[in-house]
Amino acid sequence: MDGASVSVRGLGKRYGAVRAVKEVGIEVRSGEFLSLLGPSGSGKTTLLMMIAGFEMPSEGAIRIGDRDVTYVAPNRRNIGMVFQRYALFPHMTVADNVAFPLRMRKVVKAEIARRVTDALALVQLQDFGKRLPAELSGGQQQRVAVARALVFEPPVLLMDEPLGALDKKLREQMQIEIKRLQQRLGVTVIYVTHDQEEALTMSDRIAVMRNGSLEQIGSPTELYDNPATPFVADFVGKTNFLEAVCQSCNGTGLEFGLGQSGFIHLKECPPNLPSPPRPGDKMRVAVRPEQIRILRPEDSDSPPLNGVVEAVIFVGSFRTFLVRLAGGELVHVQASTDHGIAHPQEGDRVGLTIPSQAVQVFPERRP
Amino acid sequence: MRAKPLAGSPFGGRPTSAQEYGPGLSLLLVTPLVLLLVGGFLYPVGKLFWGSVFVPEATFANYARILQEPLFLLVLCRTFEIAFVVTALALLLGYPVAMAMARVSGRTAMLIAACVLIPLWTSVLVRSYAWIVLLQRNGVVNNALIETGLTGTPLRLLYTQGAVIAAMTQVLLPFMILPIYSVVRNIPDDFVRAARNLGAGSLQAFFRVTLPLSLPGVTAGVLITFILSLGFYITPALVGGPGTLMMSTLIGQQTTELLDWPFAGALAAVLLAATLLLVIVFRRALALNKGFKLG
Amino acid sequence: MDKLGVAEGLINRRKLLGLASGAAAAGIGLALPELVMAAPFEGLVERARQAGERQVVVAGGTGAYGDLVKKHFYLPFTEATGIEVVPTGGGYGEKLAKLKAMTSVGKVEWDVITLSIDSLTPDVTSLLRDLGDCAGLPDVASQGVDGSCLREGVMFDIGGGVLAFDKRSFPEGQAQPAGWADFWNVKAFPGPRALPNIGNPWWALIAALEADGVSRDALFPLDIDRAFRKLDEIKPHVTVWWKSGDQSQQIFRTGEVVMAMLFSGRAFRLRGEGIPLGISWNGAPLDAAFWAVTKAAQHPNAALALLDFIYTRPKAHAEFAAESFGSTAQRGALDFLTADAKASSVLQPANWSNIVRVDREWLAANREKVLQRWSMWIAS
Ligand SMILES: Nc1ncnc2c1ncn2[C@@H]1O[C@H](COP(=O)(O)OP(=O)(O)OP(=O)(O)O)[C@@H](O)[C@H]1O
Ligand SMILES: [Mg+2]
Repeated sequence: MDGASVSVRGLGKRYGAVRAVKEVGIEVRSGEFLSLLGPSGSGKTTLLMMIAGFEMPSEGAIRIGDRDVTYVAPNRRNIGMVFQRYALFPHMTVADNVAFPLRMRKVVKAEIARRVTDALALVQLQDFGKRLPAELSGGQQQRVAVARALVFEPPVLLMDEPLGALDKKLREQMQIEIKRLQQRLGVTVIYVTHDQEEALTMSDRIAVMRNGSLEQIGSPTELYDNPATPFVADFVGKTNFLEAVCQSCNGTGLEFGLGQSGFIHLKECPPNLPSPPRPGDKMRVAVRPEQIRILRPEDSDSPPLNGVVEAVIFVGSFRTFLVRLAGGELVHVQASTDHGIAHPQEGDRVGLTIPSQAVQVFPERRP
Repeated sequence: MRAKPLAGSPFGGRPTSAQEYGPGLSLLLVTPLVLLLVGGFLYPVGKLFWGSVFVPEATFANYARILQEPLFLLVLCRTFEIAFVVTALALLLGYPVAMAMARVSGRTAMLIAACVLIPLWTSVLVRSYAWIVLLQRNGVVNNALIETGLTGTPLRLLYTQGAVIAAMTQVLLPFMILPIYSVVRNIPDDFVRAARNLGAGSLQAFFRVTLPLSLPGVTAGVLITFILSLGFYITPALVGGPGTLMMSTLIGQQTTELLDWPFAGALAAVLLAATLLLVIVFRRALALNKGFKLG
Repeated sequence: MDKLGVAEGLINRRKLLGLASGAAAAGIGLALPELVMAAPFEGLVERARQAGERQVVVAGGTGAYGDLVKKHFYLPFTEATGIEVVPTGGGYGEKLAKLKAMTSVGKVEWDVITLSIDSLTPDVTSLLRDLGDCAGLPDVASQGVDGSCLREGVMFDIGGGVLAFDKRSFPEGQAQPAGWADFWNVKAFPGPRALPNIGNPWWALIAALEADGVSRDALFPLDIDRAFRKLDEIKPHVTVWWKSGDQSQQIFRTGEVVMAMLFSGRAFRLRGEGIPLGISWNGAPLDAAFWAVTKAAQHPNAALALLDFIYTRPKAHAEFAAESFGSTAQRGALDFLTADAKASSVLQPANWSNIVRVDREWLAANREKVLQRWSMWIAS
C-alpha cells in the first residue's frame, strides 16, 4: 500500500465562541509519519476529527492526495483511524472487528478471511480472532485496533493518542512496532500525542500545536535544536530559560549579561531572531541541560557562570545536577554517567560553560 | 481500568459491589426486600396457585375448564396479541425518542425528557380518561376528522381494540424509552465514529453498531412493556369494550364478582406460565452473542 | 342510591355491590290463614298488637334511596300503627348471604327483606314466607298493578329495560323507534347503539327475539340460538356495552349513542337533566324489586301489616316516584303524576301490559348456560 499526501489549508473550527483550531496549514507528505504535539486542549483531536470527517471545518480545506475531501462523508474518505480508547466493537469478535471495514467494502468472503488473518498476523494476534475485545489486554486491544485500521489498506492512518492508556514499558514497545509497521507499509500517519518523547522517537516531522494554532512544524532535530519559540523550546525536550540583557554586539559576537550569575557569549547572531539584538535589549536565553558543561574550580579561574550544586539526581544513564547560580537562577545540567570519574557533589561550587551553538535567544516575553 | 474493560461490561466498568462489601452485609441489605417479596408476593401468589389445585379438593378441574371453555383461550390469546402489538408499537415509537434524548443536549433534551416523564407522573386513570375524551363519538379526533372533511359521520374509535392499543401504548411508552435511553446514552460516540470511519454509512453504522449495543436496553424495555401490558387492567377496562376483554379483567371478575378464587388462581397460573415461557424464548432470541447477555 | 340502583343491584346480584336496595316485601302466608282472609289493614295491625309486636326489622335499601323509603313509608307506618320500623340493609348479595347464615343458625333477626325479582331462585324461595295469592293483604290486590303478588313477596319498585332514544337524532314528527324491531333497523334509524353487559344477558336475548318477530307469549322458553343469531346482526352497531348505570347515562350525555336499552329509572333521570329522551316500554324486560317476609320472622304480623301498608296512600307513591325517578307498583299513584311523567309511566296500563316478564323457571334452568354463551359471544 502506498501512502497519500494530506494537505490542510487555512483550517479552522469554532464551537460558538471557542476557536478550537485556528487557520492551521500543514502539508503531510505521502508516506510520512507526522505527529501533532501539543498540550491538552490545544486542538489536536479537533484537527484530527476534521481530517477524519467527524467534524465539519468552520473554514479552510482538506485534501487527501489530489482529492478535496472537505465535504466528503467520513465513510467515503478511506482513512484508517485508531481511537484513543480503541473503539473496538464490544459485541463483535476480534476477527469480526477486523473484518468490519472489508464487509463495508463488500469484499468477497474468502478474501475477507484471508486479509483478516494477514492483518492479525501483522500485529501478532493470529490466535485471538475468536475472542471478544473485553477478553484482551490493553496492548492486545490496541493492536487489534491497528489491524482493523490497516486491513483495508488505507493510504492514510490517523491515530489519536493510541498509546495513552498503556503503561510506559508497553508504550515504548508499541511505539517501535507501530513505527516499523508504518515503514513497512508506507502508509501516511498523522499521530496525535502530548508526549514529546513519543513524538521525537517516532516522527518524521512534528507539528507543535498551541491554543489551536500551529506553533512550529519540522523534523525532531529541527524542533529540538532550533525551536522557533520559547514554547516549542520548552515543550520539546527540556530547556533552561535565563533572563539576559544584551551587553554588546559586534564583530566578535554577542555578549549577554546575567547579572551576578555571569555572562553568556555567542559567536554570532542567532538566526531565529528577526533583527540582531541591540545593547540593552532584554532577552530570553534557552539552553538544553545536556549542552551545559560543568567546570571544576581548578579547571578555570574565571568561568562565564558560577554556582553551587544543590542536588544531584541519578537517572541511570545520566545525572542531572541542579545548580543554583550566583544570581539565584536554578539551572538543570545533564551529564552522562562516567563510571569511575569523580563528579561534583551537593554543595560544591562549580563553574558552567555553554557552547555558543547550543544557545537559543528569544525576545523577552511580552507582559 | 480504561485499557481493560471488565468482562461483561462492554464499556469498561467499576468494581462490583462484592469487592466492596462483604457477603454478610450484602445479605443484610437485601433482607427487607426478601421479606417483602416472600410476605407480599410469594406467599399470597403461592396460596392462590395452591388453591387452584387443592381447593376444595385436589383436582385439575379448574385447569381443564380453561381448556374446555373457549372464552378463556380466546382471551388468553387476545391478551398476548394486544401485549405483543403494544410492545412492538412502543418499541417503534420509543426507540427514536430514546435515541434523540441521548443525542441532543440542553433545552431540547429537557423538553423531550419532560414529554416522556410528565405523562409517567400522571395517573393512568387520568390518561385513560383523556383517551376517552379524544376518541369518543363527539371527541377531539372525530371532530377534527369531520371538520377537515376526511369523514362525514363520526368514526367508531372508542371501545375498540385500536383504542385499547393506542392508549396502552401511550401509557407504557416511558417504560420502553427510559431503559433504551439509559443504555444508548452510555454508548460512546467513538463506536459510531469508528464504524463510519471504517466505511459504514449512517444507516449501516446504526444497524451494525448502535442497535446491537442498545439491545440490553431494548430487551429491558420490551420485557417491562410486554409484562406490564399482559397485566394491564384499568386502561382496557375504560377505553375497551367486551370485545377487548383481557386476562387481568377476567381474573378480576373471577375474584371480585364471582368469588371463584380457585379458578382465578388457575387463570393467573396459566397467564404466569405463558408469560415466563415467552420471556425465556425472547431472551434466548435476543441474547445474540455471549458479550451481550442481560443480567 | 335510588330505586334504579336497586334494580341494577338486582341484576348484578352476582357482584357484591354495596348498592342500596329498595324492595317490596310480600305479605305472609299467615299461620292462621282463615283468620287473615277477610282482615283489612286495621285487622293486620290489631293482630300485631295482640301478638305484642312493637317493631318490625326491615333489611331494605340504604343511602339516599333508603332515606326516601323511610320518609314516605316507614315513618308514616309508625305514625299510623305505633309499630316502629328498624331499618337495616346492604347490597342484595350481602343481604342474601346474611339471611342464609341467620336461617342456618336458627335466629333470623329480619322480618322483612327486599330483594331483586331475579334473585328468586329456589334456594332463596325456601327462606321466604309463602304468601299464597296475597289474599291476606287486601290492598295488594286492590291497589297493585297486575301481578303485584309474587307469592314469595309483593312487588315494590317496578321498571324495566326500556328502549331509550335521543330525540335530537329522531325528532318528534318523524319516525321514532317504537320497539326492538326498530332498534335492529339500522337503515331507518341509523346511529350507534348501546346494550347492557351487566350479567343479565336474557334481556338482550328477549329484545333480539322481539326484533326477530317472535310473538310475546311465545318468547319463553327463549330460542337461544335464534336470539344470538339476531344479536350477531346488531353487534357491529352496538358501540357501547354498558357496565354500569352511570355509564349508561354518560353515553347519552356525550352523544356516544343514539339509542340504548336502559334501566327505566336511568332514562327518567336523564330526562330530568334535560336530555330529550324518547322512552318505549314496548317489549321492555321487567325489572322489579319485592318485599318479602322471612320464614322465621320474629314479628310476622307487623311485617304483614307493613307489606299491606305500602300498597295504600297513592299520593306518597307519586311523590316517592318523582323523587327517586322510579315507580312503584301502586296503581293509584298514576293519578298524582304530572302530565309529562304520566305518559311514559310504567303504570300506564298500555306500558305495563307491554312489559316482558322473565320466566323464572326457565331462567333458573338456563342461567349458567346463557351466561357462559353470552360471555363467549360478547368477548369475541
Ligand atoms: N464539542 C466541543 N464544543 C466546544 N468546545 C470544544 C468541543 N470540542 C473541543 N472543544 C474545545 O476545543 C479545544 C480543543 O480541544 P481538543 O479536544 O481538540 O484538544 P486536544 O488537543 O485533543 O486535547 P487533549 O490532549 O486533552 O486531548 C478545547 O479548548 C476544547 O475545550
Ligand atoms: Mg484529544
